[in-house]
Amino acid sequence: MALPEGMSACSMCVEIMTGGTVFVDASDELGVVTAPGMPRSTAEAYVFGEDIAVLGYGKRGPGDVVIRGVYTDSTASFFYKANQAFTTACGALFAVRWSPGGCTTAHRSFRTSTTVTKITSLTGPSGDAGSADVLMWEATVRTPEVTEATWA
Amino acid sequence: MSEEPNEKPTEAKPASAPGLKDGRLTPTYLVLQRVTLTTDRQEYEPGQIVDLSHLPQESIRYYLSAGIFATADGEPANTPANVPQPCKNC
Repeated sequence: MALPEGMSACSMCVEIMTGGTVFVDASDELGVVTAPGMPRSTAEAYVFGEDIAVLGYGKRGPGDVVIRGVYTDSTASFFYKANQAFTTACGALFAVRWSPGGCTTAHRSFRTSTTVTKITSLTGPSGDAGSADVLMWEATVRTPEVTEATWA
Repeated sequence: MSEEPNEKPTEAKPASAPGLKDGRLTPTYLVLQRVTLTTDRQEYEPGQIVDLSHLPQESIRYYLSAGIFATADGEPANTPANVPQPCKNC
């Protein structure tokens, strides 16, 4: 049995959709994407005659995608766009699509909802005078589901 | 002792496909699984017709065998990538 060819995030591509209907490549600014663990609600009950639980399964719950990017002062930066989406009253759409193998044919992509995904937490750049760390920002977006597609 | 074959072996014929031109399959395909096209970065749902004229034949064969597309005629939901766009302000 042949081992599968492992993948790293070396070729990963990340895109952002803010407001409009088109995903824009953000791979030159974003460096980390953490996919959500999508839950399904469960409940349990017990009976006297058994030592294990009786399980009930409900609907799929929402999940959080976390992205981290390099901070720049530019108003064209994705941090600026994220901040605008976050500070809009009630929040504005901020969808994320990531493709582990790259945004090229035959690779797979995963995305948040493109209608109801919003930023629930935004962390701007922080500084330490004794550090040479590249300044980063981080956003958490909440989505009801993650959808998969194939690039063609 | 050799036996003469009664009939000549039939030559395999290439599968006919609608719109065959210069060895290419018809450029429109039915989406069977959700796809994102590299030409416009848009997603297309199962049941939609798309124009894949931007893809080489080997890629299209891969997608057909993988059950992602099926051959179909119809008006594509996307703008074909190799068709010149009308110029602006002219």
